[in-house]
Amino acid sequence: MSFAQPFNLLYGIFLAIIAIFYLRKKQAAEYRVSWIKMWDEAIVEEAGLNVSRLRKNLLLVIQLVCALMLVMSSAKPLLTKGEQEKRVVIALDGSISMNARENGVTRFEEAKAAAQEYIKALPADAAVSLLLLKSGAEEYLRDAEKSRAQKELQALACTSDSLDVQKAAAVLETYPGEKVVFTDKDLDFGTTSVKIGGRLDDAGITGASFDYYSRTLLCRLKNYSDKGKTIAVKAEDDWGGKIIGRAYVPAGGEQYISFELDRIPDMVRLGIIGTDMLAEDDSYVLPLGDEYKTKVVMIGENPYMEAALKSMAEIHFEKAESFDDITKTFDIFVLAQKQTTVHLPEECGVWKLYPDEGDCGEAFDHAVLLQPGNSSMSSGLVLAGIYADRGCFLKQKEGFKSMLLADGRPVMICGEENGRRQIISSIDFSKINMVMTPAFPVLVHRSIKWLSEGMAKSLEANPPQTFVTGAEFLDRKGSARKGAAGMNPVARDVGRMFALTAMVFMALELEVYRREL
Amino acid sequence: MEDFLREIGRLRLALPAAVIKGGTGVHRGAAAGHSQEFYGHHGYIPGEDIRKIDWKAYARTEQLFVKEFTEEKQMHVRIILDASASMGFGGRCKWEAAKLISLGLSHIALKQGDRLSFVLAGQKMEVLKQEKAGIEGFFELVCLLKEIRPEGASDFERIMETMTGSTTMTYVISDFFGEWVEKTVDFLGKDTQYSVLVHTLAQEEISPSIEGDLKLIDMETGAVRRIRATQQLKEKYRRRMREFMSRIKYMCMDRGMGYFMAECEEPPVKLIKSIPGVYA
Repeated sequence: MSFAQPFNLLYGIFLAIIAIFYLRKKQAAEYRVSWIKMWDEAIVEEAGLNVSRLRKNLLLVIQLVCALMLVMSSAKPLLTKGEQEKRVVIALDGSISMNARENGVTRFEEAKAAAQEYIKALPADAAVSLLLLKSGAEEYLRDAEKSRAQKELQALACTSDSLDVQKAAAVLETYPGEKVVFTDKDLDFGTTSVKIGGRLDDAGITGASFDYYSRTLLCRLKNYSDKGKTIAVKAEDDWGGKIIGRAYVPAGGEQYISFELDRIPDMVRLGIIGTDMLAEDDSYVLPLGDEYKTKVVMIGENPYMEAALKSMAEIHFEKAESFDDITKTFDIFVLAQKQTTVHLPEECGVWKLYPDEGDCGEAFDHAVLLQPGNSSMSSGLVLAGIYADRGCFLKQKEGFKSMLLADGRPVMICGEENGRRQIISSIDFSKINMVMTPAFPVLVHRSIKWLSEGMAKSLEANPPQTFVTGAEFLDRKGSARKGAAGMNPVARDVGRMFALTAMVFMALELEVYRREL
Repeated sequence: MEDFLREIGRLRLALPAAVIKGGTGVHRGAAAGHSQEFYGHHGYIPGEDIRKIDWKAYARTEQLFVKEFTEEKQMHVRIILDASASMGFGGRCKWEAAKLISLGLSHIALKQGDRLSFVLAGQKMEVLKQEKAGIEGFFELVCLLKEIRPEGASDFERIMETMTGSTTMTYVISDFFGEWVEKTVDFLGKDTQYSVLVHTLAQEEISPSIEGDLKLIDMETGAVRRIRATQQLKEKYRRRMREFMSRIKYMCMDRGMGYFMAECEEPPVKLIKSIPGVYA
């Protein structure tokens, strides 16, 4: 848990005061007297002051303080900051939604203009840092002069990234001084936020996938606006074929549109028909041709593995007798024989069907039942009655997870080593009954998919799967919206503090009135 | 109650030297009247009843004197009992003492044939008896008082509203805590031939024994004060209380009124016997 205004926690002091009042009340025994005036005279003489007058005036004093606080609050007082706080961090939201265009100007341009105004109003000796918030937080300037900050700010460009809110908040926290975030989102970074633009009216394509077996293309849509709408999407292949699909997408919801293709083109370009505030997520390119597929080569012989790999339409598969026969570039190497990995490219995936001697532990030559390991790739695999009768148990490797276990010990593991994804299996897939069950192609498919993750080839950058608009936080958090206009960069609005103080005094007044103190 | 009445049975109410106005009763009036008790002489004024001329005195002095005899008159005794919340201080001691004193005085007055008015001065002025004579009315008064509990704030300034006709003797039984005392005493001094303030207090009020941090609550107004009951503070309070009692006492003396300090811890009969205007 964090606090946007931790300073306001100091009001907690009043809780202690209330508690003291309460405890005092509990401690003092009640004593009924015939005429309190007689005691008043004695108390006055004892204390040397007229408590009666003080008592009479106490409520008046409290009421005057209350009224004064409210008057001060309504006057929007500004607390001028000292020298320490002349360091200012200007953080611009450079995520995809900032490309939204309103009245011919993008939000990012609007944010830049607001930031320019803000910097202009800073004292001449202010030290300005400049950050661009996107999937990370990129620092462009640190404690620079105003003029330089203004120049650098002008050069900033918006991205098509989704904003990583957690990362942005964490980075902002590391900077000292005043922090101002210019964003179109209703997010509370615990800093001063300058809200740019209003509600986002946008629907976009957030993903697409293709089933090679049924030749079905699935296009995922998301409606970021606060009203449901029917969205028409055009799918166009590289031969000029076009299909249009429509779907109703509720406000804030997602929907799929499917397209059945006659043939498999090299590439399909999806585009939303019509315009909205954000054009950057209205198109999506899905490469399907052989040249865009993950290229897998198997070195050595394993007929079951070969058959399983050949059945995967989404990959390009080849077989080689030895490493020396390979002339092309491959993404994944399935080593079906003892093979050193030193010659393999740095960025590739490797599946060793025969482990190195260093990876092997104790050997076994009796039948052992296989069980799924703790890797997500083996979850749900039906391995009933599947066994292996020879092989070796693999040693535990740091950063590796088990995919298959025999007698509770790993015989297939996966993990990342030297920046390369690897799968090591110690059971001979040509000599176990697993290859005769559906578990085998599933295991192979999952393994190849995991090895190829991050290798997807795309002709151009597609929009992110989803992005933060901030609206999802708006109703829940109700964070304050603030326009850039009228902001004083070297002063803090303390009006709310006065209003809170007034409320506390009102409560105190009630308590005093009740107790007739 | 029977023992109490028996013990006060021989007591009498009488004016020290005040003029009695009223109907025929058992008291010697200060004015000359038709009773058989000789009072004195004055010179004959033409037009006076010649039957009153003292011819024996004429024989001795050759001057006409008229014989004067004291009148035997019935008194109107008014008893005002403070029934405000402060009279309930210290449990029942103070209230019970005040009640018994008022009942004792009432009994004496009724028994000797005087007319009695009994006023209860609590949140409002309530006249329980208005110039009633006859001992049979006493027990009715006892029953009425039995139901009364001291409550609310006293307002003696409205006492004049209850005063009808002339009053011979007025007894006010109260703690006299309030700003109204002087005004009331002034009024009684003018309205009544002889008034007595019976200042009823508990010993704890005069000299409190409290200790530590306390929240004082006024029994009548509910006002609250927080104090630390130190010896110094208590001593200052005691001095204030002594001054207060003295002020009331001198207020009475200045106006020819009686004052009696009744500490409620004392036996009621002993207290009644000591009240001015009560004679054995």
